[in-house]
Formats: sequence, structure tokens, C-alpha cells
Amino acid sequence: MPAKTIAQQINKKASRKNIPLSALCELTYQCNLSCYYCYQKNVSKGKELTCAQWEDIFRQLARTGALYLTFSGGEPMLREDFISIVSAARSHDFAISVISNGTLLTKNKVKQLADLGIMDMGLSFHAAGKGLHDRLAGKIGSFEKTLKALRLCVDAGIKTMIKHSVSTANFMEFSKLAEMADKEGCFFECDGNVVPHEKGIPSPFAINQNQYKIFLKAMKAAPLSQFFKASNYETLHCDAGRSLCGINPQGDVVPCIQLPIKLGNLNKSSFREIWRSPAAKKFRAQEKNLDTTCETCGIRQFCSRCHGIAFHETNGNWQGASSCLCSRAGAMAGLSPRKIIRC
Amino acid sequence: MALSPAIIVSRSTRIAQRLFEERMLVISAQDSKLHRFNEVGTFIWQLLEKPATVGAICAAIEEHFDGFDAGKSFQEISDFLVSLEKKKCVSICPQKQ
Repeated sequence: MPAKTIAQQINKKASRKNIPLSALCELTYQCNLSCYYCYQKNVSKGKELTCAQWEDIFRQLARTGALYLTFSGGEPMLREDFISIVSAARSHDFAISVISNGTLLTKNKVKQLADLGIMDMGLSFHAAGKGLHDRLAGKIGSFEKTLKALRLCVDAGIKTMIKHSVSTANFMEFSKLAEMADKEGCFFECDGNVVPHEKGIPSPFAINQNQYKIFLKAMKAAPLSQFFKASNYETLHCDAGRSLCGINPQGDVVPCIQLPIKLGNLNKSSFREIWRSPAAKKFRAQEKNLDTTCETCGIRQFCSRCHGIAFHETNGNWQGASSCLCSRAGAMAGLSPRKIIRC
Repeated sequence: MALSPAIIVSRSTRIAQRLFEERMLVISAQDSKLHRFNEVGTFIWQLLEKPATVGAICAAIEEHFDGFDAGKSFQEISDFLVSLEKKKCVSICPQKQ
């Protein structure tokens, strides 16, 4: 299947040439909420990159051809210099996306972000009502604050998205949130992939195959034929480490922010050196050789493999199968659980 | 309708851009869509690093590209600039009196 949109064509070329078109930058691991599924609660919180260091990194990324930057955390708004960091990135002509819980967004900050010309703002909602949302976010009053932030962003003309992770703790809230997005005049983005917060075991909040079916059906997912990929390669492999990279608050460069394979650190080396390093080349070579259970799986056409989730579920075996993603592929394939070829 | 040569065109401040394989990629915050320009479009976009009149843009194109008749292509260039304005990538202002 040939790439269709300009964005897909550009991404394909970037991936082939290892041009890091998109970078996800985690500005801090600090957070003012305590969300139930957070996988960053136990990460080491070393010295964070300064605004000046980030600006230098943006300059380097722009030179290597990066166009899209996503800022997340932790909660990125906890950085007092957040607006300065966004401003620094915009001075290098990046398309900026922000992912936040929204609770610290003020009218003034929203105006500043709109004036800076960010592309979009994603606000995390666990549920469509304050009772469940606040419980899952670990803080009373957070729903009202996030909703207020959403309205401020929409009013300021920022493309705004409700971001939602479908899990066993909030199953079926996606329908209500989709309606809420329509009512509030914003977009809705959700998925059922939950990154495990304990190493080596699938997330206890990951939905099962039947729930995936209900979810996909309710969300009117595209006809199943659209999920078939052109080749096994496209099905099982991703752009991590090629057209996609992640940078954590301490300056570690990883192939994708969910795949913590350290390629180098920006306090010690330039981005270009890291992106061309033996570690990066080794990762790309390994990425071509996934576990044979995936390569030979009977429903691989429906798989949307995520090496990051596989890494966390298996305590490091990112080339192996992920039970969470097998469930999704199974739901996609429309097979009953016992017909699934267990990877 | 073609733009007047005296019309001033300037880039929007709410765009993202990158040169990719010698072609300019531009995204407007208005619609988040990615636009890829051809060789002439890329040249025009680079001229717009500073605001320029339509006439100056046409003259620069004629000088840069062999066999390019700006007179004959004025409408085409004009249409391109108007399409950029619709995408909120540029703003078009009448020349100061």
C-alpha cells in the first residue's frame, strides 16, 4: 500500500534516511497528580536540562531535519521556564505539541502559547466526570481544572485534544469523552495501550480482547481491511530510532520515549554524534530482527507493535511479543480468544 | 483575480517550517496540515523570510530560473500566494500609501 498523505510520504523518507523528523521531549518527571497508571513514578529524577540546554538541543535537532516536537512530562507546566522553552523551540520553527494534565494552565499561559503558535494541546482525561477522574488522577478538583484548561485552549484558537487511555479502571468512559469532545468543540484521541508501571508484567489495567472489540466497535474504527499493512515489515516494525526519537529530562536520547534504550546523553555528546553512534546503529540493526513468534504470527497483519510496551511487559525483551498488543490484534482480526495464535 | 505587483506578502508567525530534501515543508497552526512546496514554491517561501511585494517576488523568480517569463506566469504566482493566504501561511497586505 503506497504512502498516501504528504505527511506519510515525508515520514517514510525520513525513516529510510534516519532523519529524526519527530522528537518527544520529556521536560520533567515531576508531576502534581498521582495518576493510577503512571509508569514514571519510580524513575530516577536526576538533574534536569536547563532552558539554555534545551535551546541548544532544539538548534541541533533543527539542523538534523526535525520538524515536530512534543513536550510532555511528568507535567511540563511544572517547569517555571516552560513558556521560555516553548519560545526557544518556536524560534527554530518547530511544530509544537504539548501534552499536559492542564491543571496548571492559566488564561495568561494559554494566551502565551497561542501567541507562540503551538500546533496543538493534548489534555489528559481519565473519565468524563469528576468523581472517577479525580480518583484516578489522585487529586480532588483536578477534573474541573482540566476542563477549565480545555475551554481556555479552545477559546484561544488552539487545536485541543482530549487524550484518553482506555483501561479496565475507566472502561466505557471513552464514549462519554467522545461526546464531551464534540460538545466542547475539540478533538478526541484515545487508545487501549497501557504501559506497564511494574517491570516485567503486563499492566493490570490493560483491557482484554473482548473489551478491545467493544472499544473498537464503539469508536467506529475504520473497516478492518484498512488495518492490513502492505507488508509484514510495516506491520511489525516502527519508526523508533529512525524518524522518531525521545529525549528525557536528563538529556538521555532514546529511540522512542517509551523504549528506554539509551543511545547517548546530550550532556556528553551532540545529537548528531548520538544519532550516528554505534549504539544507534546497533538498535536499528536489532530492530530488523524481531522475535520469530511475531514474524510468524497468523494475525500479524492486524498488529500495531509497540517495542516500548513489549519492553516494559517483558522486562527488557523489546523484540518479543506483548500480550496487550496481541489482544488488540486479536480483536482487530475479529477472532475469538481461543483462536488467537498465542505469541 | 491576480494580485497587484505592489501588494506586500509576509509569512505568518504561526507556522512551522523545515527544508527537507531541498523542498520546504510548512505547517500552519491554523489547520496543522503539512504542505510541501515544489522548487519554485520553496524559492518563493525563502524570499519571504522578509516581507516582499508580489512584483519583487516575480522579478526574483525571473532572475533565478532560466526561461521563466514572470509576465506570463504572474497569474500562477498570484494564485499560489493567495492559496498560501487561505492556508494562513502568509498574510497579504496592500502597499502603504
